[in-house]
Amino acid sequence: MRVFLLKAGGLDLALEAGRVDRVVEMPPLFRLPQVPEPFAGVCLVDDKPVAVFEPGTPGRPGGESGYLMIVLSRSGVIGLPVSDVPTVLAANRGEVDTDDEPAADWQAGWVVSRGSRWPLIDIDRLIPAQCM
Amino acid sequence: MAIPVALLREVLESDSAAWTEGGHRLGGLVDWQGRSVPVQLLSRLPGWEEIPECSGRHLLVVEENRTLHGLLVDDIVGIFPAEGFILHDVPEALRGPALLYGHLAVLDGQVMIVCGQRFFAGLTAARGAA
Repeated sequence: MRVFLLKAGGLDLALEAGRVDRVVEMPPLFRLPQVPEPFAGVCLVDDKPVAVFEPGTPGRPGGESGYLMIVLSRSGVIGLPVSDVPTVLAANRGEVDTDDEPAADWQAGWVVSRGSRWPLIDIDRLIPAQCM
Repeated sequence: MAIPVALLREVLESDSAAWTEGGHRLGGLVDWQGRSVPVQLLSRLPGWEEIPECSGRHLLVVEENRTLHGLLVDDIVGIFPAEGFILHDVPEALRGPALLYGHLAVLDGQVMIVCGQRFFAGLTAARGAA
């Protein structure tokens, strides 16, 4: 399994590499009214509007987002703002085996590598049910 | 925001409009050619509260499905031929039954909300619910 390691909202996270189309420098964000949380609006990628999560999702709102990960979801192409250049690595996917740190509702599991573990994002769980 | 010219009836300086209720900071009612036109502030629409405060310098009178609407805006950027825009559907993840717009226009790297029939029909519904 190959994963991207990334940082969003101050959280270190992992995302399956197969869900990532590409990573681009953060384009200007056009905020739009009435969009469902946690979306903020759109960015133009190849002159096409891409739905973008509020910077910091799924961690703390705001913060620096130097890059935009273009991710494939069940609701189409989604932009996930991230603060660091993501790293790709091969990792083992483990199970949560203790209850001292419960998994978040957007989390699909844990990625274990080099003695550390990262929460593995399930991008579809970040998207509100009304968008599916 | 982009509004189809076909819906536009007139652009007025809002402080010279015949306000019968409210004003360009509040919205209200304007007499236009003998007809009473409700004028709404975008920031008072559900889900639009976070848009920057509008100076309301210009008042657009728009007609959709035989209903007149007044819309306060800061400035008129220009009138552009449709072929100058690239129109896109709102991305799937952002769509919902309450969204008052279904298309985005892209022009020179800028994104605009297309305020068409659906938008103005939504204004009518919002007034009815208020």
